[in-house]
Amino acid sequence: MNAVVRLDRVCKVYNTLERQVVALDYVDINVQPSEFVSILGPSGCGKTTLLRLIAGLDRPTEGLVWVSGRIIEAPATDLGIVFQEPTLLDWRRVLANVMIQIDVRGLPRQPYEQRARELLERLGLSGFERSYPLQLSGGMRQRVGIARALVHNPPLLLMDEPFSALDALTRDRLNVDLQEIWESDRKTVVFITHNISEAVFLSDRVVVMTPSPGQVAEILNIDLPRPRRLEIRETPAFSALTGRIRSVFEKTGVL
Amino acid sequence: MNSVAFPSTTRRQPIYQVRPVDPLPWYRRTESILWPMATITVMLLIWEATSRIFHIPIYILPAPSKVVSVGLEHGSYLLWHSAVTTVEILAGFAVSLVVGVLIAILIIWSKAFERAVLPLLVVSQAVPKIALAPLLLVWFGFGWEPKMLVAFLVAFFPVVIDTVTGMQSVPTAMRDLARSMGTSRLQTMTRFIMPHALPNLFSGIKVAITLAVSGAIIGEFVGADKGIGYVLLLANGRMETALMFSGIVILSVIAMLLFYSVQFIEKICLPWHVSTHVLPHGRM
Repeated sequence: MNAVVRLDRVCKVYNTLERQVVALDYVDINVQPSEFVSILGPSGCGKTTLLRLIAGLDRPTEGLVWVSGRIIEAPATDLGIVFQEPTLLDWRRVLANVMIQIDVRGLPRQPYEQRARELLERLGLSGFERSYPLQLSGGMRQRVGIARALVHNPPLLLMDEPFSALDALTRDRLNVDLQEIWESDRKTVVFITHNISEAVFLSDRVVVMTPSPGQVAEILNIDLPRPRRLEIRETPAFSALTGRIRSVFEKTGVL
Repeated sequence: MNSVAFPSTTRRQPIYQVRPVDPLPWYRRTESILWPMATITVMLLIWEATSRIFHIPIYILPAPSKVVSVGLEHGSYLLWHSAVTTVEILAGFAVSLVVGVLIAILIIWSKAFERAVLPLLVVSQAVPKIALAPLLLVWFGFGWEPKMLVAFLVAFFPVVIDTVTGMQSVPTAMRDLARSMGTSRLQTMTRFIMPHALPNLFSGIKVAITLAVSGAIIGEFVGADKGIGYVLLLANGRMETALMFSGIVILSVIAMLLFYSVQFIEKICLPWHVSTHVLPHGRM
């Protein structure tokens, strides 16, 4: 009942000139406090729509979205979002990019600047506080994006395929680092991805979506012990979980 | 978690290492100036030689040396008139900048304004502004006002168009980011949209400043008793071709100085932008 995020029979229909596109078709999802939940599905299954509804950036056609016990009717500000693209402000240096959250919200600079520096250090960006985004690699930029989403200490973190534009090695590394940061303050995370092994590696629960129109195909509990290391992907327990998800995708015609 | 800071944990090796880079040697840094300078020198030498060898009459094509000597002879006279013209240019440019950016902001803020005004603005560019100069003369007399107005009329359009283009190219994710922080309309404009559009604004400004020079001269051609445009007409009437060349040279110098001042300001304002080459390893 005290779920941080609650989607209650949510539908989203986009009207174009020629036709109606059903993006989400009666979706029910609950996310508990401190839970890491992945929404996993093929492209075009409404994953990003789902995230935009939770963030209040879009309104559902039908149904209700609750965040922290309140119905979302306007853009929610009590959360952090990591976008698919790093979406950094090119004209601000790395530290200032993280601190934009604090500046715009009118929070006290001093304690948060310390937190910002600490986040950057944990994300391996010490020494780059005064660099401009265009001087960083793609992986480093996305790390700055993560620091920015966490600096104001929101109870909820939304991540929209944050690592999909990165190469496999950088992605692995960021998965490990994200997990480490998550372990230290256990924020509620909704993580959108189309990568099966990434979803299993990071999550407490994986919500598997059907192809368009998006519906919940299955919800899997991931009981693998934490902290997880990359080697866990080699274990039979891990393979069983990814295999199960793959079979769901086969059944729903994705694979 | 209530406290802002993290519980302290073990610190790791930084993933990315920083290493200083040697500055470029002087001959690499000045390369971009030396080459065009050499080209101009060679062209001037050819010009000088041609006019001497073929004895071209001075009222048709004076040699560069003659242009320089006549220019120096009328030094203070030319300087005073170029000061007049420069003020007209700067006034027209300043107004076009302020008005241009304001119109751009209104276009971004109000869909109705965009629909009502933007098409008219685009169509209005079909009107040759030079043709309006005599009209402005009738309305505002022989003072600096019509010159400033012509400069403004020719210069403000690129400011509007480039600024609007830059402002409209703010990615959706960045707008979403701003909304998720609960920014006000003004904050979104000043913290996200305006800085994002700044590189475009500067390319508009660079076009505007050169157009403003032509605008002011056109204004002076139509009717003036001072300014370089006036000097050019006067020298033309007296067949003092060398003085005309001096005027043209001074005008080009003014235009160049203004252009490079804008570029200099751009470099200061946009240290982050690709165009200003901040990348330590980006010697492209």
